[in-house]
Amino acid sequence: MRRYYRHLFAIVVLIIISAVISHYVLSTNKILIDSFVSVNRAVKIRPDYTSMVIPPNIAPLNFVVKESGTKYYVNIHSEKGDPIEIFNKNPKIIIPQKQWHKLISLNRGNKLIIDVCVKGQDGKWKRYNPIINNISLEQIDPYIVYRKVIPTYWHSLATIAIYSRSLSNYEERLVLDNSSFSIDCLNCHAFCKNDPDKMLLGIRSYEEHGPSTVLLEDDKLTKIDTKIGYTSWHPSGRLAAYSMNKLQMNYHIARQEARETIETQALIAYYNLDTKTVKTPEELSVKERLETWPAWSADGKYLYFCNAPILWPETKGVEFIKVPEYYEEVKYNLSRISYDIEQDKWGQLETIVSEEKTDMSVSMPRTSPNGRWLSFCMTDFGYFPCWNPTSDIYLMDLKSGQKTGQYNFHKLQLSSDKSEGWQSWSSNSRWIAFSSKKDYGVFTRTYFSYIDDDGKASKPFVMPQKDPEYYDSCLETFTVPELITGPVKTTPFQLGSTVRAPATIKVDIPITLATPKAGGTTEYEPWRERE
Amino acid sequence: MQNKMQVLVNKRHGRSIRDLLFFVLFYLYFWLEVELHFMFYAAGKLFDFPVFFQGWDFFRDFLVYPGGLTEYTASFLAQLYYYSLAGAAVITLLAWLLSISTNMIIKAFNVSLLRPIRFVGPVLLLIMYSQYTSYIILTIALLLALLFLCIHIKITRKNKFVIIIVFIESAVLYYLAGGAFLLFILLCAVYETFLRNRLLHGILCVFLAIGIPYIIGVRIFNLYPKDAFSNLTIFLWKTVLFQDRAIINPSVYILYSFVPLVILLKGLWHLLRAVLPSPGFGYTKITTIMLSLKKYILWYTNAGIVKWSIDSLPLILIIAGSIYFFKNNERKAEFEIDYYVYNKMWPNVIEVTERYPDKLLAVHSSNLALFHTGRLGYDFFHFNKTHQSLGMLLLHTAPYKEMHWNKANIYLEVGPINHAYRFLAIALDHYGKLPAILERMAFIHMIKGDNNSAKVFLNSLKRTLFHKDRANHYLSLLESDPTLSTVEDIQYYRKLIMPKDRLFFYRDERIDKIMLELLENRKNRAAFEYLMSMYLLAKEPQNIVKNIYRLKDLGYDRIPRLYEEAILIYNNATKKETDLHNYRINPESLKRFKDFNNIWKRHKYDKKTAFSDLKEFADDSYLFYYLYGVPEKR
Repeated sequence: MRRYYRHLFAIVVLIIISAVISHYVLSTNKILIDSFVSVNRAVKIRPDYTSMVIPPNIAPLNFVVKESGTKYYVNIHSEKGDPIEIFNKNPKIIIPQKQWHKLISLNRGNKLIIDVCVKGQDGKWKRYNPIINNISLEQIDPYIVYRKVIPTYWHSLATIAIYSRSLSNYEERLVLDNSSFSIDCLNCHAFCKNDPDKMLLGIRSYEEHGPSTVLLEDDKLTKIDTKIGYTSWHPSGRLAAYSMNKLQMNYHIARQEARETIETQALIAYYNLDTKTVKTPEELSVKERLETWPAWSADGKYLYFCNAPILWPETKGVEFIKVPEYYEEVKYNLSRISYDIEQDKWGQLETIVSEEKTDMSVSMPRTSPNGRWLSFCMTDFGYFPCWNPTSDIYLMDLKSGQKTGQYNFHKLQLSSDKSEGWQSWSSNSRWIAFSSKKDYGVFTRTYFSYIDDDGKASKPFVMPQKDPEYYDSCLETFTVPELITGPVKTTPFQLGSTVRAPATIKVDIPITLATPKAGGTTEYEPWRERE
Repeated sequence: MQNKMQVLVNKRHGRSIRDLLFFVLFYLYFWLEVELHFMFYAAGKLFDFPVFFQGWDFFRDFLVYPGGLTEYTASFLAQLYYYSLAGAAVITLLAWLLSISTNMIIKAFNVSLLRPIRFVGPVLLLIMYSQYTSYIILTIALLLALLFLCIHIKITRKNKFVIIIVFIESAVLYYLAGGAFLLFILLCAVYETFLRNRLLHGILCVFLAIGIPYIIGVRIFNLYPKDAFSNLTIFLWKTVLFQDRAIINPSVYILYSFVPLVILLKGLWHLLRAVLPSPGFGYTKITTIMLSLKKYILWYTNAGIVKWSIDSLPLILIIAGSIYFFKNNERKAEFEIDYYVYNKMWPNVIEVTERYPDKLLAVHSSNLALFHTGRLGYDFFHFNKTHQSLGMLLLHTAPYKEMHWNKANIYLEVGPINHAYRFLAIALDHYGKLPAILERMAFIHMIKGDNNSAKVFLNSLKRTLFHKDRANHYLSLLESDPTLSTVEDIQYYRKLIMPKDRLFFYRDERIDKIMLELLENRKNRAAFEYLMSMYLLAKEPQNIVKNIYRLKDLGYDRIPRLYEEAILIYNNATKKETDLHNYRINPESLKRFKDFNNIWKRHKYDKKTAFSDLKEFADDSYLFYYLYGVPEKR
């Protein structure tokens, strides 16, 4: 019994000591700033989380104050709720998650104000102009899926991995990486209407398992024995259109971005999930043209895609051994073709954005789920915007276009002098996630921007990380961001097992790329681009 | 005195002194002779050379798969190669731990006669490093397996809960050392079955060998099944798939197999003894022989220092033999050259090449060194004497396709910066985020004016153990002067970048075409000298003559000797006087040409008979090369 009391006594004493120490530490950490000097400029912070619109469900936007000082004070407040106060000796500002979420969810539609004070070497506090951001009424989809890879372009030992990330916190979960099946490549992931339970994932495995596609439908995984390119789901979820491309990797001799991919052959096919067949409509596999980047309209009545004439002689299936002639003159139009899913019938082809008018090349079209917007990239030439610094994102109002017959478009404000692309719409059509090289050179990062009713984009912000300095030394690129409405439920083990298993669905490709003709089989697709 | 000596060299002390001496010499050998700092810089030449970054983020990534912690520890320890002194201490420590764990296992298995086997591990490490191969991750994984076995032996002697203990040990070890756990469980099975006569436990071990990797590796950590069983073992499939990463050193296989082999043999012996009814003729005969030798054995056992010396002799012989037969000085030279090139120690590069003039990569690097010391136009034929020389010059022919690191170096010097970037990116992809690659990448992006990319590489470099200062130096430069206008190196290389961009397909590029293009556009001394070297090798003196006009523009005081010789050959053949654009042929070169001709004339222009005299007279001249070519073609 005595021993019991001794232990109890010791525990009580320890608790009291801990409480005293905690109180002391916490109270001494709080500093009363009774006098300060106002600095009439914005405080420098990194990442740049200023003057933007943020979703009410985003993870805390941790940042580093790029002003030299000995102590830092940050006050984050809005109209409602308790302000968040952070005292730090370190310029790294880590915002408590619970308080942050409480504050921003209470203040939808309000301003979020961040006051920053820095104590200089002279012992005086400086107060900078407050950072003012707007909290939107509409949420962003809670998850995003992206691919991480080092910025290179060689079949290699490097890890290529697809991750899903919760946007309301920093939890990143592996969807699949190439070590789960071999050291080959895994390509674009495409979800049907932001649904995490309906996904297609391209696998480029040459060593053991062969090129294939993994189809996820609810909990069921199937392997299709053909590799698909850029994919777009029909909104019904019954079919997916995809491109088959023959690509050639080239290099610029002096340009800052060294890489350039040229599409030497391309066509669009579609896979029907009900009949488990692949078809290549005549209109989308014209021998003399390059058809690529398919994107279904929200109602599924049109397929938007990019196309351009082939300007070099026919290669007869032999891979190019030199830079194709007139490659700089290849500019893609944005076209669309009507489709009747019930009769599986294709209609008239229309050119929506003509390169003759713009003198630019269109790529990566994406329609918003509400059917109002069509976003796309435009570059000075070529089909692949990620390596082209002229690539910017444009927006077209489809609804007003349908009314007036005039499909006008404008460049989004989020564009920079570096490459932007891979845009993905949120399920409520208010947010777009996209890839940009604007802040980190060759290291592509994922950014978000709010699109208002007038089609104006807010200043973009980089996907927040727990460590605000994470991107400064991260040697991986974040590409192909896809916003989804929930977590990907399948495990890497299940996906890996599916890739390793023999294909359960075998399809015949009616036309191959080498020499477009009937009755061919699936062929090796030497993709080289990875961003 | 005799007694004192006797005490000193009694069994235990004798062994301890031998061990101590062995490991002291082992350490000194690694520190002073192997010179591990050369291995640190050997970008892409070492399998299993891990990278290490400071910080929680880097550590966290190792927690999420079995074997990660071993890899993390090995990554950290491998960085200490940066200082030969510290690297040697790491290897010696590993060798010592291998030795004591082996010793303990041998004792436990009652094979004390085989006690010298404790030196097998260290000697194998010595062989591996003498061959300039490093398998530190595999070594640590193996060591963990052996140490766990020692722990198992110790705690299960008088413990009833062996099954639970084996299970816990297996799970923990598998998490720590991945597939290396299989070695532990195999030895455990033998120990439990044959030594402890616990057959059930032995069978359990077999089940655990399959179950633990499957449950923990495949099901929990989602490993590719092959990886779950083979990670951190010598059977890792990736090492088989990639030629440049294949484990080619048999020592690693022996290192992994010698303990289980001994134990298995012991187990089999144990089994045989149990099966055999009683000691037969063989036993009696052996016993009789032993008894007759008893007197000598007794004398030998008490022979003190003599016994100690005789016992030590085989070890000394094995070590000396290992070093003599396995020391790979040529590979060391490759590593040395990489180190000197990285640190721009050009005279050292030339000095190593003098020792290994037939080593192609040494010759390649020496060309770079000759260029930097202004000697390429003079001493090019001092080294370039094989038919591969043309390919070696710019590493553009097939046999050198894996030399991404070296290719990046040469293209950076000669000018097509995106070629350099391409090869460096491939090196990054193949060999990982090695500090030397990160630094080079940052440098290339700074030249290209892509400060944002450069900063990411530099911030990453900042997180390494020993390159923080270099990274901070460049980061502060970028902060204070974003255009880097004051950094001479950067400005120099920027001036070499082509003013007009164009696209190239790497399989279609003729290297001489690029060089001419570079020369047309820029004052590019490196491109000029390398192009001229190509013309020399191709025996095209007419092209040397055609390009002499560039000398003035490129700031040459005089015509380099080898070009003078080419001009003289050209003049002599065409009977024309070349326009030398206000340069003149050096009298020494004229005299040399005349003397060369006289020797040849003396031999009545017979190439065969004149060979030795001309070789002696001007082996390193273009005159000699032009006449005889490379040895293979003579």
